Amino acid sequence: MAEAIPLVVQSLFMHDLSGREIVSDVSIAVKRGEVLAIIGESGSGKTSVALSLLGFARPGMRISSGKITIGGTDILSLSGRERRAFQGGKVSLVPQNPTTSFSPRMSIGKQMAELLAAHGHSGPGLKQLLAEALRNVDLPNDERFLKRYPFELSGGQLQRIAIAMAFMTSPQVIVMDEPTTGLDVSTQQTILELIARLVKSSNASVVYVTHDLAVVNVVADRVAVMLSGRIVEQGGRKQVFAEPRDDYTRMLLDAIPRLVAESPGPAADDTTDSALEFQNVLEVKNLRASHGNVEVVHGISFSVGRGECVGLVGGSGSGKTTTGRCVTGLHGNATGTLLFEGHSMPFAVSSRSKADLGAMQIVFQNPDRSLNPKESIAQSIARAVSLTGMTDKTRIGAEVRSLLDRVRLPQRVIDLYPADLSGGERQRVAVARALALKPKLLVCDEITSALDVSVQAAVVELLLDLKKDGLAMLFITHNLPLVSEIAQSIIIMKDGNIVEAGRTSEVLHSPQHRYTRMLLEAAPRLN
Amino acid sequence: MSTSVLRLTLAKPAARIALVLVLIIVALATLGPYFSPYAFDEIVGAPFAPITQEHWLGTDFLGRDTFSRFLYGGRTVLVVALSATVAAYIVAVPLGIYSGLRRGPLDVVLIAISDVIYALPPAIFLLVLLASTGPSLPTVIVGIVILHSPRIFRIVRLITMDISKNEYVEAAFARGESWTAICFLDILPNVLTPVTADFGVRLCGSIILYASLSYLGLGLPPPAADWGLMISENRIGITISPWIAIAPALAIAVFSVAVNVLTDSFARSVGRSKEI
Amino acid sequence: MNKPLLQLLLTRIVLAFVTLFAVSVVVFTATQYLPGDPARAALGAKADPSAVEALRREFGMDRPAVVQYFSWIEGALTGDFGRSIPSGRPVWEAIGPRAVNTMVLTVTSLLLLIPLSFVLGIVAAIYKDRLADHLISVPTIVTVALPEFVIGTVLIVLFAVYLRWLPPVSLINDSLPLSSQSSLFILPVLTLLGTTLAQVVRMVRAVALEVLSAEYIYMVRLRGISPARVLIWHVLPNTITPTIQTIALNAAWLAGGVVVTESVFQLPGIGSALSDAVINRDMPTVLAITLIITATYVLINLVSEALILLLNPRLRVASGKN
Repeated sequence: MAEAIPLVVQSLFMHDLSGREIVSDVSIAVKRGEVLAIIGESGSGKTSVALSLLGFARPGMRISSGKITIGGTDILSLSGRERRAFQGGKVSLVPQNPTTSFSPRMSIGKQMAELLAAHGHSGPGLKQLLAEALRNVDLPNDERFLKRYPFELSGGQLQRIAIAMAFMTSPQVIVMDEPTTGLDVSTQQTILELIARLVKSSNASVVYVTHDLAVVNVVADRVAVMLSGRIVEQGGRKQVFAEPRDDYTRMLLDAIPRLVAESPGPAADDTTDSALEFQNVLEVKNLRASHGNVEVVHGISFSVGRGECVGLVGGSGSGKTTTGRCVTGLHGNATGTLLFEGHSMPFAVSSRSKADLGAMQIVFQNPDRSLNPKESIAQSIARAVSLTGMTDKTRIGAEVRSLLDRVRLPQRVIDLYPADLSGGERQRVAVARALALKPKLLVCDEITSALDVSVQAAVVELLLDLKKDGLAMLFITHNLPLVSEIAQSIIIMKDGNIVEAGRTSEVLHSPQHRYTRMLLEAAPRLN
Repeated sequence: MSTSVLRLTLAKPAARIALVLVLIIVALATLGPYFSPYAFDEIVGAPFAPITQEHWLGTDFLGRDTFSRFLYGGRTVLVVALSATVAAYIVAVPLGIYSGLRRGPLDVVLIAISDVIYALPPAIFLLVLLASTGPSLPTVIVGIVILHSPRIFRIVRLITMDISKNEYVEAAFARGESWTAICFLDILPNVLTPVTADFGVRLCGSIILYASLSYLGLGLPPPAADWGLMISENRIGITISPWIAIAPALAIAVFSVAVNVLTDSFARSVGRSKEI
Repeated sequence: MNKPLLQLLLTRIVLAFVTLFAVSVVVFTATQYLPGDPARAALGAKADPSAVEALRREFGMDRPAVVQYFSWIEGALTGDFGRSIPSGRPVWEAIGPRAVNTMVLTVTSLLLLIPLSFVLGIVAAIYKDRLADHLISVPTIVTVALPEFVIGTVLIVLFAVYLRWLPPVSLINDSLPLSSQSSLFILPVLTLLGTTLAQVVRMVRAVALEVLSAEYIYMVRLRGISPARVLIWHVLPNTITPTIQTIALNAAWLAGGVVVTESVFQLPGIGSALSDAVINRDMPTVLAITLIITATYVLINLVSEALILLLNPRLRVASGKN
């Protein structure tokens, strides 16, 4: 007799309280030891499906119909008490954000023991399981470690504990909801390896939810692609990646930034060779910056030429953002020399001339906070335009419209408010507002990180256009593949120092520093 | 203020009823004296006379017409509470924005002052103030302003600091906009909505403070008619004519509760509406 | 206990004394320099100027203010608050027994306030927008906006005038033991609870709602932990700390709220003594009571800050880093 499939979902429908369909007719089945990746962008319903596998719907959402069978039992038909025996016992969850997923006022040892106790373990058996679980995720099993509170541990350590807890009760089904998204690139890599190892040894059925196609490539056996609540394509990983049948899947695959060195014709344009001809727009010499008394940037030097895009790459805490803020005058606690078009520039905004301020603009990461919610798009951009000395209302209006054209936004947004726009649209408005001052240098601080892959690609395209017009750019990011698409040269930062700098192709082909090589290896790839 | 916040505020029946009640009390307090059948200090009969056709609420401890005194008694609490609250905002909002945006030595001094005022229990502070200067309405108003200002100042300062961390403010500084432009275009409009929600809470507090002072005999001096005072001066008759106390107590309660319900509903709709 | 925590606590204690000193100076100065002459007020407007002068001398009001302040504060520290102006009796003799009554009133209210507000607030949060929530939340939005004297008056009309269950005034008899007069405290305690309970319940409800929708609570639930355990071990501990400040604020409000409440019920406490003293312009008594109430107020705030520090695992385990 064939063994029963541990996880079967049949025609699952979910609605929100206003009756809108969030998940439509989703059916999946996952065999023992198999990993099914559910891929989708934000709002695709992928997380709702993941949580429903534990018989749970977030507030404001409900499971309206369908069957979710775990080890032969329909979890939706169970009473509260019976369902609790399944949750954490037969089906477990690895959450997206480890730092907010632990009870803040209970030590992690107690939280782990609480889970085991709830599923019938006690005494020495419990202690043994706990020790084993910690060993499995390479964490110390000593009293001092177990007495720690969640805030005392790093995101990576917490995610290890979350993973340990998900496997600890030997569940039949394990759901992972973007388990590496909140982590640094290097941590991401080791966590992924850890997951792959545990999945293999546990033989559980795993559902892995993510927006990151490259991650899928590492862990998944099969792939389901979700778009607005439906599964548009489902199949073996190799087949979906090699011959996607659905247009949306193809679009997703195309939109992924690839390391230029690997992609067929280099996207970083052909003018790279004329790099020597770049006149320097910005020259930074021996920049040191501190937060309070703590120095976070330790004397770095670099330059950006006209029409050149320099990628400043680093993990969190590398000092890359502080560097960008120093350049644009938002971080005054710094020493060193800033030369802008040959003349020296003070660090504080208040001591810079109006012309200098306008010539250097910054666009930020978070599109939700980049625009004043009380101003219409037109007002927002017009304010920046009028700083150039333009006073005539009709001319300002015309300039606003031409700026919207330049960032490829339709004219209809002109009277809308930021709340009416999507994240990508808001980011374009922020770019338009920066361009209003006709800057020579644009500092882009992680401007694509908060956006979905497909939107990201469009914003990158826009930046490439602007670069063609001669705008110099300092592109700050943690995403090496992305920056390789637009930057002629790359600077790698770590702990406040530049560890490697050079032309994009050189850095990618023959990385000199260990950290760069680590980043390159960690960078997900598709082939 | 956007129309959608107002619409959301009044979406619930409770909020609409509260608005109507506030308007009724305001009308009663302002127009009441013009419709009063007797003068507020005119003795018209025996003390604590029961309810009759001529005296809808009977007479008080001196034999004055209670209904007339009720119609006169709302003016002071309305004027004092409203003017003190508005004055407190006029003082505290600019200081809060300045402090939150520029920080510096003035900020330190203002925080220290507000700390000392915080350490005084509100009712006690007013009592000491009135004890040393003698009861008078301007002193009461100044006292309430002094009590509210540090609290408003702190809130506005915090909101301002919060807003100024937003990237649109940083972007404005980075492109060279003036302090005035940033204050009036970026900070003030975004401070106003949460502050409006706060206004109702303060107004409610002012009503309670003044009414309590009046009850303790430190508001408008007798023989004036004042809702709080009416309750305390007729205390001995409460077992004979409880309605003398009930009418003004109800008026104060309705006024204060309705303001509070409106405020609550406003604060909720600010949270819900997208544009905060 | 570790070093940074101890330092923080010591700083708070020092700050509390500084505040108390500042307040005593402010209050003392206010009574000295603001327009209005207490001696004249005590004797009446038509009093003979030489009599006013004599009274001023008798009470030491002709000495420099700094000298007066320090002699006053020196006495206050030993329990000697000077003599009441109208009666000439020592202030402490008049307010001492009254302070006991006020203590009984406020401590009883506080002891009822804390458990009641947690139970009601958390129940309302769990049953959000359902009947239990409405039954709790609707009355709170009403009573939170009511002055003590309105609540007190309503209670008197209801329980004393119509139902005749309890007396309309709480004239505590000094010569009888308090335990035999406990029914006299019922209405005053209910009055104080009426205003403060509503505020704390609303705060507890708001905090509990936030905690209940926190990601870690979902995670705990999805580990199959029973609802009772989730409530007691995960929801409650995280609800307490943010609420302490509101409770302290209301405890302090109790200290001020007694003034009106005691007047409503004619309960002989230091609150009603204060309002009488203010009307009589009896400055030594006003100063003494203000100092006592403010000290209580500062003390309550100090205790709440200490509790917040002690309950915070971040500070408890801090190893010297920020």
